[in-house]
Amino acid sequence: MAEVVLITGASMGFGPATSVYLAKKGFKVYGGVSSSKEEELLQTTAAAQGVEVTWIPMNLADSVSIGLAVDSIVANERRLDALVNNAGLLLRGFFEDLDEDEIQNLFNVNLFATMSATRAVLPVMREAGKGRIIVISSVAGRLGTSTGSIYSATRFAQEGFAESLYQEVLPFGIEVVLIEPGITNTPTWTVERSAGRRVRNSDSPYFKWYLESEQQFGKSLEQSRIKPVDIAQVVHRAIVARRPRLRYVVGRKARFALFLRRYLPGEAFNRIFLHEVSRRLGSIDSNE
Amino acid sequence: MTHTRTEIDPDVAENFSSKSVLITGCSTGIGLEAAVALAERGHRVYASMRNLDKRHQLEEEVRRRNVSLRILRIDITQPATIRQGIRQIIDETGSIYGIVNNAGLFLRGFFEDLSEDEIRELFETNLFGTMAVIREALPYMRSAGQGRIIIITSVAGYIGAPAGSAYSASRFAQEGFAESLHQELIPFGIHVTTVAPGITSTPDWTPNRYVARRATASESPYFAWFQNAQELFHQTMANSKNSPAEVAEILHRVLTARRPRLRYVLGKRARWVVRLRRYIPGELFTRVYFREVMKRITAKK
Repeated sequence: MAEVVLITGASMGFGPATSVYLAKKGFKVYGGVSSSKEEELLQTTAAAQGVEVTWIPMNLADSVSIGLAVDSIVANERRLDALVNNAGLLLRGFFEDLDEDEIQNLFNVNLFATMSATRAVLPVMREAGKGRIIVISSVAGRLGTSTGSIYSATRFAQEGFAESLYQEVLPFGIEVVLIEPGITNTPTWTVERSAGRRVRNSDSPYFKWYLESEQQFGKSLEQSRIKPVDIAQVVHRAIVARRPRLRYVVGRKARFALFLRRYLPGEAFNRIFLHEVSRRLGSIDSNE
Repeated sequence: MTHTRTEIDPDVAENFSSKSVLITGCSTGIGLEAAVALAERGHRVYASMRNLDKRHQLEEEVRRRNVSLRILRIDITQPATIRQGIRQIIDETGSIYGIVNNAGLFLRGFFEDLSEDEIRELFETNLFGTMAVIREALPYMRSAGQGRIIIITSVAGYIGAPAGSAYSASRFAQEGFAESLHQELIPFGIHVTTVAPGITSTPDWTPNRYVARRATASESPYFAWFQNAQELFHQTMANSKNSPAEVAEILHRVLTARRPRLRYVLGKRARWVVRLRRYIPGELFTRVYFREVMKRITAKK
């Protein structure tokens, strides 16, 4: 019998690539989607690759909806072997330019939906005495950057959550895994979609810096060599490995930055790297 | 939203003792000690708390150590009270130099035993409340071209532990938020710092405070482990040599240093664990330390 996997936010970010990859590897894949438009996108992608992915409606802001989705999978399949918490949004903007509803929305999708899906799958995994809970975080879960305060807060939160949960459910044979991709250009990504509403308001004291940071970010995206399928492969490895790692970092730049942060003594990394970023943005005025 | 930009009198700005500092959560523990100790060192302290009925312990300590400070009511989950408090500081002193975000909740219980409401409540205070205070103070700090924002986090913001999933999530979130904000505000002359005390025993600590409702129900699949986890936790607390006074000392340093660090970890044990995790290569720490913790917690008595 095929192992059953649920992927949340299956149409977002790494979702389509991961769904298709796991289906090709013989998993029975359920993809959580929030609208019929997303469902179409997912079906088209899967059909083009000649695999089948079962869509399942899921409102990420509503824990009841997430619970119902999990219940219906368990009712159909009598098992659920892995949960991939893939649903995630980006939010860019200097902290003072971000509104409370934008912050809440980001926490709902990135953190609280992860918690709800995890809570829903744990009983069936405990009963089975095995299971994998994958949390797709980001290198921003290890490293804060300007214009990423809220995004990093949600990702750091996922890290702290997963690291604690890892210990709590290990005795049941359930393994929790964090995957931390660097900046990746995914097909559904657009600059506008992830910017806070007020960031392009020229009254903002951060306006010029934001525009500059957006250019830098765009450059990083262009230069990124990480492809969604790279993440899909790591997800697969985390599901099939006998003893998966707690953390997988994906991308050379991301690994290098984390290496520096780890081994440069004291706060040297902070002084050199973090201050340099701010200085570059802060010097915009004087360059003009 | 409109803010009154307050011009800083250069004479006032030069005079160290007139720099005002807001500290939240001062009815007890670290907040109380920090308020009194910073007042002793000449800071103009505004000590806030959610419930003014609990101000007596602070007032008593203020009298005993013969200092002066102002007590304010701020509930950091209620934006109106934050606005009013900060207004008062601006009206009385012309500026706000430092904020010490100390108000925070604790929550213990294995993840499956935590309710959504309990988790939300935790985030409302530890994270969103902290953000709200900072948001309200920032325009004044920017116009002054200086300021210190301190967030009191926890060693749980560096390392996860069983029965602490939501708590660690909230503390990790504060760390990520602070690290980003630090970079955003450096050009304005505003420094952001997190101070993470290890487990600190405070006088009014009681074992069942902050324990999730379902965690003590014997039907929970985690019931026995939770009992063990609590026992270990209380042992650690009983043996802890960390004191609120030590935290206050660091706060003074952060407020007065020319270039404060982004992060301070306090307490011997906490520093040791954070250092191990940092320098032990690969996943060795995870394999050894985390598995050892769970072995102790799942051990049959």
